[in-house]
Amino acid sequence: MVIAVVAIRATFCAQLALAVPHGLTNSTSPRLFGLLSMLALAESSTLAAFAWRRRRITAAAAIADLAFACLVIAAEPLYSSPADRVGTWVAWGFGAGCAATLTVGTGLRRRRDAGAAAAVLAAVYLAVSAATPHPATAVVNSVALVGFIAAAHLVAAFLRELAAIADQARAAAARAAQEAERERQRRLLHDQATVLALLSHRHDDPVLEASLRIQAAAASRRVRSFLGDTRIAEADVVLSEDRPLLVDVVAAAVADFTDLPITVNTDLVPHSRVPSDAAELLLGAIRTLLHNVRRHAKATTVTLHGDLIDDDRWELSIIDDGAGFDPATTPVGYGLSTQAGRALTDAGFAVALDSAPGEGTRITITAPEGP
Amino acid sequence: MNPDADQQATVAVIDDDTIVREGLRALMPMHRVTCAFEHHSEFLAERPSVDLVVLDLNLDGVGQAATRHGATAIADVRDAGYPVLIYTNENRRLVLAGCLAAGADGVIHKTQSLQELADAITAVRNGQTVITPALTGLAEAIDRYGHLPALTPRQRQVLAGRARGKTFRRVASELGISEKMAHEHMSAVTTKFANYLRTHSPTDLERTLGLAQGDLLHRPTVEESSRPSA
Repeated sequence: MVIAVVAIRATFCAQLALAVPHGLTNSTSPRLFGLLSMLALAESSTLAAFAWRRRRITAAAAIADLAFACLVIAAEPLYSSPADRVGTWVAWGFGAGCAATLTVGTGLRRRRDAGAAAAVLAAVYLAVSAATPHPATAVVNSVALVGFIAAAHLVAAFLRELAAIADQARAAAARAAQEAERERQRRLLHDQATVLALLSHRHDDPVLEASLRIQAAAASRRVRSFLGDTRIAEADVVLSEDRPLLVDVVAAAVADFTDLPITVNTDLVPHSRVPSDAAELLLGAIRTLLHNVRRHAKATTVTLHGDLIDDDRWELSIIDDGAGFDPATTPVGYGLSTQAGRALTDAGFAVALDSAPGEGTRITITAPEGP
Repeated sequence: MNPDADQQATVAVIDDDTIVREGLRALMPMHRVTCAFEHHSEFLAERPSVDLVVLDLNLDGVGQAATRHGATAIADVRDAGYPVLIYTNENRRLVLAGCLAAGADGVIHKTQSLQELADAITAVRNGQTVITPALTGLAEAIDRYGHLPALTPRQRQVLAGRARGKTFRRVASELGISEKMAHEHMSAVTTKFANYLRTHSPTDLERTLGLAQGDLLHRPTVEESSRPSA
């Protein structure tokens, strides 16, 4: 609405500037005409600047504008002949009135106030213009002033309502996000509290002691992951999207493995997408691989790295520095479950596996060609 | 006689956690922790003679304030003439990048092994910059977006391998170079990366990483990315 007010003011000022030479020649009081024209230009620019800065039309601004429009309309008999008063070349009060309708309709929020303002403006205009050679035009014009105010008021009310709904939706989303965050914290703290409580007791059983130590290490990694800036993505949400982002599929897949020393480097593929029908497959395959790392690898680093191999084809590598295995002698299911690997290949992905005992495991998944 | 005597560094530890201060004294392989302080101001008051400082990124508070606090400590210790290795639980990449920008010579996580810490101390003592795997990924992204000053093809290959999580041994064998050479190439990369961070604001960094697809200036060729064979 502010933009509309500024635009209308600019149009009004341009029209007025065009009318000034003609008006100065035909006015009954060129001096008053000139003075009022200058005042109108100043008033319009002040109002536009004020509205622009405040990002809204205040009730005070609307009333001031209404008063000014009434003043210039009422002053018309002092500087124009009755014949000129229905047109706008000399007596431009109607133009000022039209410009004021938007300010009044927008700035006065209560219907009653806007209605009263419309009545005042129309009455002043009628009073000044009825005694001209064209009383019918004067009546039509005054009805137009009322109509413009009503239209502006309705549109402004509708936009306000829309904005309020948007604000409510935004607040609801923020509340939901806050609640989800609190839930994450609860889940995290719940597990860690148990580990800490167990650690605080003295245990004479070395097996339990060792197991607790492993759990404590995993707990510390979970807390670290929580404190980090890891991208958060829920599998359900990601899988429900059309062609989800690769970064989200990866984030959702690693979410259950915060006990592992995982690094996700996906800055090179921020816009890469996964075909909708293959997203679940890929997510499952990454999880399977990470399960294997958790169970067998004893890795100190696991890195998931995405890169582009051409404009829209990406490649994801999953590399750990753990125990590794001999692909020639170890069943394939060890590194990458047979089903996961075959299903990915069937879906058009290329899967490469490279490992040796003591050398960690490197797996590369390349997206199918084409979008 | 200690066989590693020429590699042994004297280290000061600054950490508000007693266990870390006492633990590193007792457990540090290779190097000698000669003194430990709870706060960097105590260290600066005493200014002991050590080769380098292992500094906990002490986060008093959260967010921006914490980052500023950490940066001040790093700058103060660095200005006193000591190389600084950040030893932290902090995991946010931009905060860690901020440490390098503030003058730290290296960053290592508390979850990494003591051997890795000892290796990092050796590297920093030798004038190299040490970064975490996640920061390696960040360095690769910044290079790819064309913002790291001219890496050589070899340096870029080593960086690509390390960002993917490959060990130095693996990278070296894939490129047919010695492990020592691989370390040296990576060291040149981290130095350029740290210099980039020191001359650019966090906003620059975020803007760089927020660039749209298509702004990538360099893509490694198939040989460069040295992907594993099936």
